[in-house]
Amino acid sequence: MTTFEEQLESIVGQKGVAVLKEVASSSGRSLADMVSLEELDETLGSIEVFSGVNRGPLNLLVLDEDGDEIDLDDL
Amino acid sequence: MATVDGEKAQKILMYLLTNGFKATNINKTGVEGLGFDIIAYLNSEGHTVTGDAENRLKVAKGGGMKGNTYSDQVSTPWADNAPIVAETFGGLTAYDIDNWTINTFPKIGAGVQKVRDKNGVVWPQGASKGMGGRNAKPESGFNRTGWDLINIQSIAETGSVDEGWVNEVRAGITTGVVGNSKYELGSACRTFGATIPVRTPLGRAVPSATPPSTPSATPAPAPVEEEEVEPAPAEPAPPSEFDEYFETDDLSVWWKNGDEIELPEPSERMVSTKAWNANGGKIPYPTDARLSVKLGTTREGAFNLEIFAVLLSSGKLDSDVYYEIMANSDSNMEPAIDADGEEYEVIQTPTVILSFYQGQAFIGIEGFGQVPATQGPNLFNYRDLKLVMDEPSAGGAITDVLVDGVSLREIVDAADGVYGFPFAGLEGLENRFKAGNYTDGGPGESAEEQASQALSAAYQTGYRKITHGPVEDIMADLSQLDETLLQPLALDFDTELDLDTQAAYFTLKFESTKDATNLFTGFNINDSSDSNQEEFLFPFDIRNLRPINEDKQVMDPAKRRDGEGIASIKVASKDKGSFTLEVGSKEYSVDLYTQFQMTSDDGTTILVPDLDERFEALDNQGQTLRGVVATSESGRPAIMVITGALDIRDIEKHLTAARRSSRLSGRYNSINELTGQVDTKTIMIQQDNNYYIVVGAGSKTYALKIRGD
Repeated sequence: MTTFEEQLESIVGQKGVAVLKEVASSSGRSLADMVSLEELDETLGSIEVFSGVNRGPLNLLVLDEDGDEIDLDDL
Repeated sequence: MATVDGEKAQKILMYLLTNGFKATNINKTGVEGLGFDIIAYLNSEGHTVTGDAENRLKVAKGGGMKGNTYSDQVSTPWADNAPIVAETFGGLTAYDIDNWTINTFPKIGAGVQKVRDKNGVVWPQGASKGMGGRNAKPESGFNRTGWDLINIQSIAETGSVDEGWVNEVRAGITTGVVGNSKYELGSACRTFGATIPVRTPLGRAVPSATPPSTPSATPAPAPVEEEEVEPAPAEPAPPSEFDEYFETDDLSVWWKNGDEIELPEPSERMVSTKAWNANGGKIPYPTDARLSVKLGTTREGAFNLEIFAVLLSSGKLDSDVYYEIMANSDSNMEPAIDADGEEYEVIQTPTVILSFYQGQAFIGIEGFGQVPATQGPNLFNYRDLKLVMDEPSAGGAITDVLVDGVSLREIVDAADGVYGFPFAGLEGLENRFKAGNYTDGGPGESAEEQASQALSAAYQTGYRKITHGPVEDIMADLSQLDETLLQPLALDFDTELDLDTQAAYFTLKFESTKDATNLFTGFNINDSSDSNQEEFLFPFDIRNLRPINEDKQVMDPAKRRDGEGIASIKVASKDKGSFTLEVGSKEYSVDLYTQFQMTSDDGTTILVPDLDERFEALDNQGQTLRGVVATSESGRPAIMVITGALDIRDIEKHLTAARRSSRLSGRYNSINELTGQVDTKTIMIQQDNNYYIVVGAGSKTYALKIRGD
């Protein structure tokens, strides 16, 4: 059984978790108060960023290995 | 010595008329006037003036004029050029003499009108019946030529004027006239303050001894002393377009015999936005189609019959003429209230309608029909009409008409609220009715009064001053426009597509970047040359769009995001054509239509494109995109119906890939150099105060949300 912190560590690394904990502490919050984690049982294939009329990044699509969209609307 | 009977008295009055003396100067006060002086003069010359003649010369009513009015005895025969005229004036006609009069006495010529005799020849009418020219005063005008006493004497003795005077008239001699004779009224034609020209009498002018006159309608020639001029042959005048319309009895009516005012048939057809844009809002209107323009109504500056009462009281109008006018002028009157709250009668305010048809403009007045319109001295003809219209999406109202490129509103406004019938028309009144063209002659003869007198005189010949306001309503039959300028007629959508195997495809053209959205077309990072159009496929694109219909209803079925919710798509079988559609590198044989009707399962219906050839929708970010559906070679919107499930799937994939490709930014994506595919696996995004990290690890995808507050 892995803890939330261990799970975070597996994603952003020890240094990443340390930074997050420091930021949470400076604002008087726990790591769990500041960070939430959504886990989806889909293998990420690619993340595509699309531009808008002003050429800046506008929206993105998260696709699985088959090129189908992974729905992050509930995040 | 001779006896002056009633007929000779009538002839003397007629002679006085030619010199501009009207009845109220013949009998000024009932006991005094030129007529009284002439009676005294004739008596002093030894003639016998009968009671009948005496009464006539006093212009006494009742028995004096034998029950007839002065008009019946004098001015009417004159205006009719009755035989008594030639008999009295040595064969001259009333027109001969009027022509001479207006050239000899400029003031008598004020208000000169052209009149037409029974042979259709046009003449100037000077001192004739009803004309404003009869304004000469005995105190200044009597015997100015030196001929008046000679002619009165001649008529008394022979029944006709002197031959010498007839010769001068025939020769057009206008010289040798004193400006003001300074005659002393009451002196029995004896006392003049000015030196009177000396004339040599030749004796009675014998009508049969002189050839009938055929004078010219043009102004008299230069004076030729004592020389008889061979009269020029009469030139037939051009036909007047207005003779049939002149009303000379009832001065309250605008005209008679007006043609029926036919208004354009109202039409529900509308100009398309595409045509409006292409023509800059100025839409060509066929010259052979009817167009009518209603003007506002106003009484400001209107002609008032009260002027005749003023003229009567100031001695400038015969009482019998006045009573005749007032007795007849009653069929087009309406009550008005003066400053004291008293009701009085005025000529009805006209409702003016200008009509344009087959290259000619007409002016109509409700209740009186229409007559040809003029602008200055010419008929108002045109070669080209354009409707100035509001944008169709803003209602498409007609705001002005360009007549040969000139704004009708400006033409009407420049007329300053007055239409002069028959001539000057939309340029307002003729110059002869404008005070600025007269010289101020003091009390009773101010420039304003002279202009009014001229107008009132012209009124008796049919002239009318018509007041109006600015352009109020423009009526056109838009169905007469070229079909390419119009929104299409409603179709009969009788054929329903099988949505499992058929779909409708079209290209939408955005007119500006404001009409596009971030999603459609976004910014095509790969091809900056053409981002002003986007292709759509229905029902597939219901997942990407929420179409908006003409009633501004948004089509938003419940399962839209899954690509469901379209109940039917219908086309009109009569509308069918064929076309080859190229999508990507593949060609598809499709059926071509101009419009389809789409209905969602919640009952919302939309026409694609709408009657204005446009399509509007919300994208999935809630932004509105709108544009015009691209056309085929026919110039009509091109709606392509694709048949075949596989073909439809192909096109869906192509559209998806094309949209993705066009917006996929190389700057924000990691592109695999070998595959050309995006291989970004991790991303961090800021949204408001929160940060999101999306990352893949093994067979899982993780999304971290880091709250910033």
